[in-house]
Amino acid sequence: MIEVRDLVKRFGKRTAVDSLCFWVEAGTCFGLLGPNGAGKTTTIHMMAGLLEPDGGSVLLEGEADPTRSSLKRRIGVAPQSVALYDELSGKENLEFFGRLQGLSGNGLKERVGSALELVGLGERAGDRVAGYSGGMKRRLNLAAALLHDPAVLMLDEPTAGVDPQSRNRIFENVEALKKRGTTILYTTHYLEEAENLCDRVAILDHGRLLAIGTVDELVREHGGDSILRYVTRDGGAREVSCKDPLGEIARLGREKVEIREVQVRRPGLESVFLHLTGRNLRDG
Amino acid sequence: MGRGSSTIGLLWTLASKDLRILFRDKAGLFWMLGFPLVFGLFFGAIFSVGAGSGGSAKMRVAVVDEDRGPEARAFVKRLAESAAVLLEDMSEAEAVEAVRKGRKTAYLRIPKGWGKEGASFFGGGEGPGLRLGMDPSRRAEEGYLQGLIMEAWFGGMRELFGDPVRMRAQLRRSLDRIEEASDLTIPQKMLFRTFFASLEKFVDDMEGSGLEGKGGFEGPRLEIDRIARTRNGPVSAFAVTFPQSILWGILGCVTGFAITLVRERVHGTWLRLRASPVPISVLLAGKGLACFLATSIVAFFLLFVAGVFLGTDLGHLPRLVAAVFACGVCFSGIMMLLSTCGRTENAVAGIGWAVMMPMAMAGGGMIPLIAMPSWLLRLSDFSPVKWGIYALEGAMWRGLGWTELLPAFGILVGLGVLGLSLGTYVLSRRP
Ligand SMILES: Nc1ncnc2c1ncn2[C@@H]1O[C@H](COP(=O)(O)OP(=O)(O)O)[C@@H](O)[C@H]1O
Ligand SMILES: [Mg+2]
Repeated sequence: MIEVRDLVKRFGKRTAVDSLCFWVEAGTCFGLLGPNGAGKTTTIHMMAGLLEPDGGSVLLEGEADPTRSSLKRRIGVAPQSVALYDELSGKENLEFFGRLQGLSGNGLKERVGSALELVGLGERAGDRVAGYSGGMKRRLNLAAALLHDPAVLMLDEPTAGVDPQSRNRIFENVEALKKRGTTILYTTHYLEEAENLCDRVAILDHGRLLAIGTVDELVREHGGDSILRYVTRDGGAREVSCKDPLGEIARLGREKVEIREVQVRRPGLESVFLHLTGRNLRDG
Repeated sequence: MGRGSSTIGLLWTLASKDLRILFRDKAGLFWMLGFPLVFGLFFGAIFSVGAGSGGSAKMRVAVVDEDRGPEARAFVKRLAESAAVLLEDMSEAEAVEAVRKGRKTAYLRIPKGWGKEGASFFGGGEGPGLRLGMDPSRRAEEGYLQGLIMEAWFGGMRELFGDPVRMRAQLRRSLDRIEEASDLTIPQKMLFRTFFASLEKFVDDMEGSGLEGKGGFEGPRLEIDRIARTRNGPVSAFAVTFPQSILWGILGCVTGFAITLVRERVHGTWLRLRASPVPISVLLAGKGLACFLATSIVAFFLLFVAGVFLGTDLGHLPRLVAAVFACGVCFSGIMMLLSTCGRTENAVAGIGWAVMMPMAMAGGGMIPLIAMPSWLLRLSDFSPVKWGIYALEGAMWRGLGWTELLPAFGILVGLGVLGLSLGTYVLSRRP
């Protein structure tokens, strides 16, 4: 269980996070969605005790001070920029970070081994990280965050700059962690990821919370109409936007419009964002 | 710390990680071990031979020239040109008596065969050396006189340095001499061969790299001992150049670590360390420990080479070890302070060398303390490098006892603690 209340962070005159409120139920995946500079990383850093908030509070697992080491032990963070030692091997990196988390001996060995297997780096474990591809580094970055089996896992853009294979692997990992009951905070500016992985999503822009809810709720509330495209027998293509595309098709049938092809585009988070900000998320 | 990890264990985990990274970095390794070794060997070899002139206060010096060769005569002539000394030829027995009675400040004995050895970089280390006989209480004059002798002798060497072509030719000649030398053991030959080979490579690099301009080798006059035969018996030139080289190695460690601290920030690993349950004070202490261990490893490695391969008398070992540790504490503190001086690796490296070069130059990293003119010696008091070298020399051959070493140790450890606390304070307050 995570509770964030009125969280504020300013850098000089710029307010990076502005009175942010949300809560995350234990064992669910929560998405922080927003363009670059929205304040996702700043939020995560405050939640992980890496950055002092200028206002507001964070309640993690019932504890209020995230800088306490007893709490840090139950949090795993995969920073946005890959945070690993290039000169060390993948295994050495994990062993080092595992020790800092208090693991040792056989426990450490097991955890490192299984984390490496989980992210699919078992075979390259002995190689120096400097020789890894971007995707491999990302996966190791994730492995280093979950070594100590944290109750809360914060993943800051875990798929940034990653090849499709590594991306799928990371998705699988997140799904598996969710099944194990890990509470996951997942930031991204990829809408599909939030749609597929997250139970609930918060949309952030300029440090402010624009909307929050399940993907369905958000789409229903802010997504606007579905787009129905159909081609009639005589070859004419039409496009109508409507709340209820199935009803619309039925209505066309009743009107004896002969339809050769139908295409329905339900609104997604993309349109939610567009509706809320008047901008496309990708345009930044 | 819970879950069975003690603070000591954590410190070791942190430090061993840093050491592992450090020793895998070839460039860093060169500055920590390669360059200091080359420095110690090179200048030690050079100044194992002798020369002389220049100065101010008249010192009466007896000259015992048993060599009588042209080189020895030329050398004495050059020394006599100095306004600071008044030379007089004597037999050895007369000279010793004169010094004992205080009629002469010192006597200088040029042994038979010295001239032949004196013509090259190499050879004096094993061949007969000059002897400077002196009243033990006149330490200041001893240093000064040695400086004069070195300065004159070094006149020719300086030209050599400005001219890589000549220097390379000289290196070649030295290499040939090593091959011919019958009094060297095979390991010694191998050591010198490797050394001169890497030096040739270094000269090549130096030509293109603009290193000269950075003060790496140029600097002011380069005068060094070798000749000195103190009351405790012979001191080899390596006993002078290796403390210097140790300090160079330590400075290499300092820059290396100051940079890794910044690199951790830039690369985000610092974030991950901060996200771990380890308190920031322990994280920083781990850095300090790693730096301390690295300086100790470098120092003991260089001392090992000097002691085992070059047969240098290392003097009083417990005091030497204490001196090494005191240096380690001092420069770990300086490292910590230095790492707060910039936000990028380049900035810290730049500031680091900008601070440490003058510190090394003024502190006897180039001109040995014993050869310093008095004004520079006074200035050197402000350089921690001086106190480091002084402590090492004190234990090795200055014959200083614990109480005499205490001020130097106190300054070193005090500076170190100050740097550590200031640096830790600043670093732990940074977001
Ligand atoms: N250390 C910092 N100093 C000044 N401004 C910062 C700092 N960190 C972040 N910011 C600013 O705060 C805003 C939010 O940044 P960030 O949290 O990194 O966004 P996101 O992770 O969503 O891309 C941006 O405008 C960024 O420029
Ligand atoms: Mg970010």
